[in-house]
Amino acid sequence: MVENIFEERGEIMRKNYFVRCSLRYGVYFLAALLLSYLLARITVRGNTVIGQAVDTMLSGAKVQFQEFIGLFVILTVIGFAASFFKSVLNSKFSIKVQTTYKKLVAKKLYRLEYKYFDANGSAAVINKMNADIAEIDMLLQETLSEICTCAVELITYAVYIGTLSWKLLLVMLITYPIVLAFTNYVAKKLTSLRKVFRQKTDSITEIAQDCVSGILVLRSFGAEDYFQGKLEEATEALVENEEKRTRVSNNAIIVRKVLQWLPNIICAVYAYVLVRQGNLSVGELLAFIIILEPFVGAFVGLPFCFVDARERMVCVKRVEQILNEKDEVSGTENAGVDKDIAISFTDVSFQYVENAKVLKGVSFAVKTGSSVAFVGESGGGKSTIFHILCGFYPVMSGKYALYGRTFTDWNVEAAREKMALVSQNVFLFPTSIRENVRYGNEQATDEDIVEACKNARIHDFIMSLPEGYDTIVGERGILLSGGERQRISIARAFLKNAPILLLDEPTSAVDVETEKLIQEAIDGLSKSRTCITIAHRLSTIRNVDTIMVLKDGLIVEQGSHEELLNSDGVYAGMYGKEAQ
Amino acid sequence: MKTWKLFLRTMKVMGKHCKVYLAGIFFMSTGWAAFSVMASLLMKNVVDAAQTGETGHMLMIIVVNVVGGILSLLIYRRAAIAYNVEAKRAYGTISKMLFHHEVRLPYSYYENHHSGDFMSKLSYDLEKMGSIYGSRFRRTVAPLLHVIVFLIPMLILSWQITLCLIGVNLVMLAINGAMINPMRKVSKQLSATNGKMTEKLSNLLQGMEQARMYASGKSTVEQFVSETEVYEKQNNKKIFLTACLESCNSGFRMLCILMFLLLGVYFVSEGITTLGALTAIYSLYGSFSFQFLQLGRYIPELIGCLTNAQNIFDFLEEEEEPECWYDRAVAEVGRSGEDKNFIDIRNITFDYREDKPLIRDYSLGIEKGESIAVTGPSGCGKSTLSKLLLGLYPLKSGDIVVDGNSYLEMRNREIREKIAYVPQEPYLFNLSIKENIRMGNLKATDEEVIEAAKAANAHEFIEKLEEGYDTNVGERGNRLSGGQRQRIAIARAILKNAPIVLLDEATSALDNESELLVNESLKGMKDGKNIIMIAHRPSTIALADRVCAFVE
Repeated sequence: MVENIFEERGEIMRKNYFVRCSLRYGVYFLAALLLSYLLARITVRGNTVIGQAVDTMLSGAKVQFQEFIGLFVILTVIGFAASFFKSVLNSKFSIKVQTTYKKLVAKKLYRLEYKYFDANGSAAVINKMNADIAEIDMLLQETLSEICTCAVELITYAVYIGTLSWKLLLVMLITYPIVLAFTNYVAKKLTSLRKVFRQKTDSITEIAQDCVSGILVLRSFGAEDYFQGKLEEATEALVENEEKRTRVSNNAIIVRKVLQWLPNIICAVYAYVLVRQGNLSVGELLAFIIILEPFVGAFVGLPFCFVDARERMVCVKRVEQILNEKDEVSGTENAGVDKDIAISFTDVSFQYVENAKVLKGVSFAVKTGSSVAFVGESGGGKSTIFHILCGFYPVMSGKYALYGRTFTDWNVEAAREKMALVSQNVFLFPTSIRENVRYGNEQATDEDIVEACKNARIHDFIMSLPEGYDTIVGERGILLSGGERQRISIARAFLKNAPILLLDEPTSAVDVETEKLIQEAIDGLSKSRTCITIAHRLSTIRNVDTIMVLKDGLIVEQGSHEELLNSDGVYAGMYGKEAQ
Repeated sequence: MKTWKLFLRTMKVMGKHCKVYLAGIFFMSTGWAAFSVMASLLMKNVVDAAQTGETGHMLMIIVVNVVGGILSLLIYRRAAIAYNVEAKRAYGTISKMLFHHEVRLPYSYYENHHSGDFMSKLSYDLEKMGSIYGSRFRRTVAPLLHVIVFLIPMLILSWQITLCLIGVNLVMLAINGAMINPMRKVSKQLSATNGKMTEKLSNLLQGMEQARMYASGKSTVEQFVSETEVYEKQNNKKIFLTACLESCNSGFRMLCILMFLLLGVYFVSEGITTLGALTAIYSLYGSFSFQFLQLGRYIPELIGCLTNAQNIFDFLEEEEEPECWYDRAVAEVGRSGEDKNFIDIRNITFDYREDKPLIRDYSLGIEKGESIAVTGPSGCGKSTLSKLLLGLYPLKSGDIVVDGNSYLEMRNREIREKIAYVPQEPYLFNLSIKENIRMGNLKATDEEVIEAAKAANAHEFIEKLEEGYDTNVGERGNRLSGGQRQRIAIARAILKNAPIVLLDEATSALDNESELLVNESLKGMKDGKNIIMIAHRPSTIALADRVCAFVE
């Protein structure tokens, strides 16, 4: 079932995918649990034997050691095998669940409604997913198995102590809740203190980064001392906070240690009393003391495991939330019905948030092979139109048709194959330039790539780099300027060779010279294609067939450059301002 | 030897606090171990008393043990606090050294090391180095101290049993040691695969728009899916090794305990030792064996962190920007020139690389109060000119004279005091608007800040913000639009009230509307000041009194 998500589309009911994945491989987990029990039983068995031997010895009889040796060898061999298989099963369980879950997440991300990746900050949240998934790994690999081992040991040892003396068990059970409560309290307190520490360290790093990024401004204003002062202040505050934290955490450690010790003292003394009364033999006392340590370990460890688990479950919840989000709407049609009209909007309205319409009934049609430009103030809805064109957002009312077919009837992938987008925020992958351009079309040959780069006027620049097309870009490679990045993304779009070209301010980050070059290339390519541009500078769109002027979510004017100038409306005003 | 020297150097950062730090580690470890000893001695006494029926001193014995235990915990507490405080102080010291240095490197350093990138590497190194003080070093020495404290009572209680135990532990240590290398190899391979997968996923997320628009996005997902399967297969070897190690350890531990007890009972029946001593040794044995296996385990990690420390030291050795590039600053600079030109650029030559001179023999004179626009194709050296004016690089030859003072004789700081600079990308710091403007003049009052904002056409939009001048502008000022950022940068320059205003393509990235507002505020700055603007937009150039074309 789970595997089919990639093929299935549309709405999915709310499900707990994590539990489903875990249940699927639950057999491994159960088997590991059984082995934990076996291991605990072996310890108990060996212990009983020792206790009996001590009693035999104290009664004055001769202890037959050779009898025990055989038994111990058997116990040990079983122990070796059991811990081996327990480890294998635990790891297998963890890796299998992880793999299934990761696949699920990756597939989901590709299908998720686009609004989750919108610029309003959730991109960062989603980026946290990598960290979340790593945490889930840890949850599966360590926390879960630890909890189970602890619980199994705890119960097994408790039963054993109970058989020695139920009164003894009772004493233990009465004193431990105090330990439990305190442990829980301390764990919470320390977590919050650690959080403060992290925040303070982060803010120091931020200031330091800020200084370096803005070094030109910093230096030209001679603000070195000012920022150093700020950093030193922040560092002092951190050190001070740390001193406080050490005090608190050390006091907590001491109290916890004493609290843990207290039941040991009480139990030991009580056990001693039991021995004096003859209710417990010395051998049994020894056995009790020996088992006390692992018992206490499991008892104290368990709440910590739960704290860990609780923290990590937050990550699971976050990922679950995304897995339960809606998929993009997608139909089944793979081709259009109208060859002549590439795109048509009929009375389209759209809003990102309630009561703030960005588009208020926009209608227009783009003929196949024609070129159209959208102009208007920022915030006028130009980029929103592009978002809708690409199918990142569905229209709220009205109709958007691609080649005569309503967009929602299209298979989203097939529809997007018809378009090549050059967006404003260019993303280059941290690989070679060649691979970045090839992203546009995986089947492209090296020659095709060079051709596309020549058309985007970036070839010469690439060749001037020591490693040419194999230069790595991004964090670990060279950092490109805005204009260079933009031209690489244009080459990528050219390589895709789609019938519709969408250009969102394609030359906003380049100088006048380069702008001219790119414009030439775009003009060349748009001859045989439908080309829709969002213009930054009006001078770049003089030659397009139709200019649409957007204002407050409406198209207020449309026509060619000359027509609009003559009509002396909004466009003419804008043009006049720029020419000044 | 080299590592040792590096280690000593790392410790020397603490100065005389080092002694307190080391004493802290010593008493912290011994105090903690002494507590365990006290706890097990209590058990010994209980068992001995139960066996012999001696009840008279029972209460006394318990009190002595408990008091001893609490005392050793108090020693631990005092030492732990001293240790931690010193560790954090050392971290603070090294951070401060780093920050002091970070903002004072020559400008070329920042240009050659991708801005911010080297800083994040450094902060990683710093964290690692800080962890030497905070945990790594103590973790390396503490096991040894623990083992010694445990061994003393154990040997006294029964040296025969203790020696047997040490023998068994040596075998376990050897097994664990033998597993380290293959384990590390597998882990390395796995984390490489995992790293690649993480990168794929983060690429997918960051480039989601591209991923959806290109078919390659889908194949990235498919690749990721098949890689998870590869990862699963690669994991098999690790699973096997982990299981071997775990079963060895826990199986061996079980064997040890059982055999130890059997042996113990035998010794007791032979009268070599007492049941109580056996109990005490047993309860110490758990902690002892744990610490014993830690011996030497953290040395590789410590050495790893020392390499990070080395990076920090290397960085600290980078030379800072000198006070004056030319080594002949005169004490008093302040004479007013007789020259006709307020700014006189005289035959300057500059290049970044020997073979390719960027500016050759360039001269330009600017009269007092004159505004000039410098134009020219991109890459011809316009921006370099502004960096030379700011004194960010030393001139190869020639001189710039401002108000009669030669760059060859001025301190860099004095040069920059004369210029208010507005860069192409109006960098704002992640502070409030007020603090950002005040960067122009740290002594300015709130009124002066507002005055400057008004002059820069920024006051109006700032007032409209919910928190007004106290609004935090966000990372790189991303909570404001490009035009708003630029106007704040101009307000900052206005507040500086320097005789020269240098604009480096200050309006090139703005839309028409914002440009208009910015240009208007520039007009306001003109009187009495020299404005040098590097520009290619006609509307900006129109503001200048004179245009000079810059050619290669």
